[in-house]
Amino acid sequence: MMAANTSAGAALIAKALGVAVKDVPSDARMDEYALWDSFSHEQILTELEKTLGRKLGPDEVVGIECLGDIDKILSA
Amino acid sequence: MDKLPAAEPLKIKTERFELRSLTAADITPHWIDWLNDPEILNPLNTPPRNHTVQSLASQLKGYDNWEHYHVGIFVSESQLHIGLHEMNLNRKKRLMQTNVLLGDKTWWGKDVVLETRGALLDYFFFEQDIEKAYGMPLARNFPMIFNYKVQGWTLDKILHENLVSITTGEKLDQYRFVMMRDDWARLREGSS
Repeated sequence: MMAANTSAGAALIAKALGVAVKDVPSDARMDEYALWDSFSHEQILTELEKTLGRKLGPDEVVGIECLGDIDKILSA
Repeated sequence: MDKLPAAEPLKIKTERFELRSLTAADITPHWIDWLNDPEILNPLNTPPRNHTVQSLASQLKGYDNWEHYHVGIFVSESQLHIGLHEMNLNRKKRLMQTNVLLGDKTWWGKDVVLETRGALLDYFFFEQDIEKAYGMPLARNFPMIFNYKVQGWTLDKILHENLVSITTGEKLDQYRFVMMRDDWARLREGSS
């Protein structure tokens, strides 16, 4: 596992999961990060929509697999 | 497979759960409670049907354990009934549609779907000669999307505005995820 980072996506995941940003690995993936389960996936995507102020499109929803995907959407 | 086995109730054990074809003997207030819970049903765009023991018993008669399966998820230790899988098969085309409902909220986020659906894929692919499985979750059913993706299903299609919401009247997007038997075998091999 790589070191933690402080990207906007990491902050969002930390908020959704109720953990410190430093505890979110920079390579966090839905199929590897233990705290990222089906239930928290909903919390992460809901938090992302709240931050964006809009609903995610179906292409975006199905494309989210890791922290990098969230960072990409946030920076678009 | 030239001859398929005769229809019989399904019974499978996984590490934490028992899967078995539901019968009227399995009907409990707990099951009826979560089956009538809008929070459980809304992500599936299914209207509450105000099920009773009688209505549920009547519904169960429609499952033949051959092309239509209604399978309960029971916690092995407690025998608590926490959810169900429904499978509709086209044996001629060796095709299976899967649906799942995890009704007991205390089990959300605990890999129940991954563990139990994995066992069902093993059974239907390798013992019942099914070659292709598909599932069609709503695009807003985020936990279910997680389960399909993490389990290795392939996104086949996005069906834009394919359904109408029973609660808001909005058009709903839906996905079609597919798992082929050979792909599942490779995934199983890779994870063992």
